[in-house]
Amino acid sequence: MAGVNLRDVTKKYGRTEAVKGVSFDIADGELLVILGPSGCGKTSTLRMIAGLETVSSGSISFDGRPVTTVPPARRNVAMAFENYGLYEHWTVFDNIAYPLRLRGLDDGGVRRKVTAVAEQLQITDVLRTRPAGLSGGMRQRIGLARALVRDPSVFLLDEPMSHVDADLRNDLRAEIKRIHLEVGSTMIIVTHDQLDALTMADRILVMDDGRIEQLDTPAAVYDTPATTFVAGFIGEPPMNLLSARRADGGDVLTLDGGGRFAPPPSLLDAVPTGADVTVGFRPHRVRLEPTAARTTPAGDLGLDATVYMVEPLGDRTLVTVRCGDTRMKVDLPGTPEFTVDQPVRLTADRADVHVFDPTGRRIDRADTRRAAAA
Amino acid sequence: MRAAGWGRRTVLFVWVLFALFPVYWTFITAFKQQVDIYDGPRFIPFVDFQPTTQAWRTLFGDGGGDFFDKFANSIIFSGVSSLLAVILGGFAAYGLARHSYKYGPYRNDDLSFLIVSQRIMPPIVSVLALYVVFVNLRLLDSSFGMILAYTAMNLPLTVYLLRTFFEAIPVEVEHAAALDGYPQWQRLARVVFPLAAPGLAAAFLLSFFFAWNDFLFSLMLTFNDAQTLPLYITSLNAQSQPLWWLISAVGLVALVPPAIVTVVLDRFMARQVLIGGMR
Amino acid sequence: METLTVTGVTKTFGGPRPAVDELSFTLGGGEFGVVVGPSGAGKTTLLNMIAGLVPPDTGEITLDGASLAGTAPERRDIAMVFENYALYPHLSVRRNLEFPLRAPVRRGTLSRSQITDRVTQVAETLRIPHLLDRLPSQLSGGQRQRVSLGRALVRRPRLLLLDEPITHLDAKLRHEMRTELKRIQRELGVTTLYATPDQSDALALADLVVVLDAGRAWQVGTAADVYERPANVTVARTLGDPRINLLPGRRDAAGVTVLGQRVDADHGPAGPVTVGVRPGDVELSTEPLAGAAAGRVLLAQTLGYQDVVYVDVEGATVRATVPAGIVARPGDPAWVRLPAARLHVFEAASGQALRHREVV
Ligand SMILES: Nc1ncnc2c1ncn2[C@@H]1O[C@H](COP(=O)(O)OP(=O)(O)OP(=O)(O)O)[C@@H](O)[C@H]1O
Ligand SMILES: Nc1ncnc2c1ncn2[C@@H]1O[C@H](COP(=O)(O)OP(=O)(O)OP(=O)(O)O)[C@@H](O)[C@H]1O
Ligand SMILES: [Mg+2]
Ligand SMILES: [Mg+2]
Repeated sequence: MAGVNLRDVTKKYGRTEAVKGVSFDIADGELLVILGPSGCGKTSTLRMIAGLETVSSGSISFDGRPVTTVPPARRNVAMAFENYGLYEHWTVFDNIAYPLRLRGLDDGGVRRKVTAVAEQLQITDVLRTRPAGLSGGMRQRIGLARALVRDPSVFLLDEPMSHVDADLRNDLRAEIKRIHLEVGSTMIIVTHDQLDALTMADRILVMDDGRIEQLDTPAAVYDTPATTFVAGFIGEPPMNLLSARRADGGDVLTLDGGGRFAPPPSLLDAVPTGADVTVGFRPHRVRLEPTAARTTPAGDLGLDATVYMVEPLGDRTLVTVRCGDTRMKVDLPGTPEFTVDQPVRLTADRADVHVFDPTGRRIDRADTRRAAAA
Repeated sequence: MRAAGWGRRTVLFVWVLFALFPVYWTFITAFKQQVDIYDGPRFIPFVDFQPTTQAWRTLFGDGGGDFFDKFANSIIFSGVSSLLAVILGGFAAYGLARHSYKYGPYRNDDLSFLIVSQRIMPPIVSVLALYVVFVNLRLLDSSFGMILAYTAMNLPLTVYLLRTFFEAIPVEVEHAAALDGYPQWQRLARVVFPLAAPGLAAAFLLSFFFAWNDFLFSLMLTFNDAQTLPLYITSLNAQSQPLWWLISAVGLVALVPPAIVTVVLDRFMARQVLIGGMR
Repeated sequence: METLTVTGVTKTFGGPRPAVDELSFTLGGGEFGVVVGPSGAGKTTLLNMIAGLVPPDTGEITLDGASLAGTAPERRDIAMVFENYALYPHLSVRRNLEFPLRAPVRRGTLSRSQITDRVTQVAETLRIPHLLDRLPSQLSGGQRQRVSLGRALVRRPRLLLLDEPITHLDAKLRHEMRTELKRIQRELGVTTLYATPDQSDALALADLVVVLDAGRAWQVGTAADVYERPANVTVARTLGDPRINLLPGRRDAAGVTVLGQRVDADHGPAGPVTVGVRPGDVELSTEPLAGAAAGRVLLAQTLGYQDVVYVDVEGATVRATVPAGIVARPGDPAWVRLPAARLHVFEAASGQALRHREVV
């Protein structure tokens, strides 16, 4: 088991810079999920940690021991690949046993370890079969088993669920998390699916375009996204983002499409005037009411809009509203009665509204800024 | 960096010299006279020897004999047989790619193998059999017979090659065309064949080269009217002193049609990238 | 406004069981139907049969009262958006959109300028006018999806078939496209059948839901029907996210016993039952609770807007959703109570529903 530290790590492939100087630390036994859109450098980062890819500049260490130039075989990392990398003509048992035999473990030891890990992953029944006919979820587990069986100090998974359909995905998330709790080894998982990240991670590393956007717990990433990118990438549906402006000396922000938002004074100080800022709110943190029945107290965020579409989801309902050219999602409990093209008023509490500066970085309220610094 | 760049360039330059030398040699030989050839190697025109157009005048004048007939034969046989091989092979390959056939225990893959297996035999074996058939059918030394022979030789190749090309086209694209209101033959013309263009071009090219460069079939199955360029060249060689300047001139001319075909079809082959956009 | 009926349709590809098995439903003119089911359920096969790309073994499909049997796909005037978009890679976006309008079956019905107008109009609706001169290979997944939809809509088909059109998009785009799709369908009023493995698509879009699994329709009804009144265990399991809890229980004259607790629901003949309870209906507490079963937290996951807690109760795993931010650690003791009014009860052997939860 080991912690992992990266310092100013970059990766260049010829002229393209896939990873543009990232530094972060993973604690021993932590489950870190690297999350980002396609091509943002997730796999490259993972492969550098595994040693399968050279580092263009910067350094990587495990528990303070530099490993930047150590070959993969001597790093004691295990990696399960996007496409499982199973040997189709071997039995499942032999597939899992392979890394142990490679290390010269005797037959008794191999059998004991494979049986143990197979039990843990509930694949004992298929140990004698070949992987060829097995379902995606099963193959997934076999890939995991083969990686787990070596007791690696760092355990790397690249898109472990990309081939699994939605139903099984849910189960596998819980499974991987449970395995991590049991095994307790450091785990790094790469995915582009925000739900994978929220549901499995101790901490999430959000990447975009080769850079780190945020590194924090799932709750923090969700509740206090550091950038508009993170805000718009996480959540199902993700955060509504509207551009807004603060007039010189004004104490309200005027939203695109005519709404207004009066931030608390502790936040207002930090909002620049005369520049486009971004205001964001989560779909389930707003109220929606027919304009006629309007009862909103002044001072909160308020926006007049019309209903664009209503999508019931069983126990909750997604209402899309249109305000000028922007469309926003509102996530309401139950099955409220709204009809298409109905005029509505959308309101939100100050505490639920996020403001981002013209460069897209989050502006924190002064008191939480102090709290965070302390 | 710069040093490495120069090193690489030098190596490439030497390689190019090496590769192009035979072409160069043929080229200058076509402008030599008898003495320049038999009197030791001469390398550089105007310095080593005085170029003349004598070979060309002979070739295009009266001395060329039936050069033009043979040249035309070569072009017609290669062109028509390749076209037939691509069209017939295209339909066969499309069928193999899109439909499931069942003849007794045989399926598509078996049929495909059966077709390719025709080429496992050395051509000399097939050509002897063909000879007997041609004698009986009175096809010896006929244009029709030669086109038939080349088409038959090329079909296995085109079927095999094109089948993989058609299989690479997602069937949904054809389904989309069906729902868009295009009947079967229109779907082939508007969607399938354009998408398989790189394959069709490659198949045509390989067929063309085979027929163009063939010597054996021509030797066995023709004696006069239907002879092709390679045989004509041999006839120039058959004399006590080979007419190197003429052979070189014919050789140069023989380079032209394949070169033109390659340049024209190369643009279609470049369309391969399109397949990337299909999924 | 064309009504689609599917009656007793079966298709076997030579596998052990039919890909589509005795399927019947009626989709009213102008309605939005959704076929929902897992991978391999037979969704694509069904759409292909309606489109005429695959002949059914038995059964009848009619559109606007007339049987489609024997009509070639190009004469059905049905449009389909394929799972992999199936754009014509060698044609520009504009040519792709024009393609159906220039088809032999429509020759002479539209002038050149009418074709241009239609294409411009549909491109604007789908917000792709700036892409018209590109090739499909130069488009992103979401853009390809819109072109594919545009190609289906441009000719105003009698029936629109959509095969997982948004499954492969990222969360944000998927939501945007889904809303847009519903809006466009409403505006055009074209009868639409949409296949998806995603239950939220079904609930969000459908006038009519067909729950398909292993080739069979397990229930046909409105979104509210299949969600609130699932006819059997399969339907209950298909709809809802996080998935419904299905727990073994017993029923007798006094009520239902589940998780070792007697809940006052559904007095009936004695026998084993499967109790279904949606994670949102489970009452979870970190302190002992009257009528609650004691268990231990296995796992807590956050979905952002809420958390899902997995609790182990006597070997059964119960999923409960709680507001985000309530901390539950693996190993913590927890108490689970299942409110009698919110239980679905299914016969254990057949999986048929005996009772549904009460709507609040
Ligand atoms: N071997 C390579 N040679 C050249 N460029 C590469 C190579 N591998 C990756 N890249 C480029 O580096 C960038 C980051 O790639 P990487 O595979 O790390 O992305 P990713 O985040 O894993 O994406 P995905 O989610 O699509 O797997 C991309 O722009 C990619 O095209
Ligand atoms: N052409 C075919 N030949 C043989 N079997 C087929 C064929 N098409 C489909 N099947 C089988 O029929 C069943 C249903 O397949 P279908 O493609 O309709 O499922 P689906 O619901 O669309 O699944 P997915 O969500 O994965 O697209 C599957 O078991 C599949 O293997
Ligand atoms: Mg990757
Ligand atoms: Mg399908």
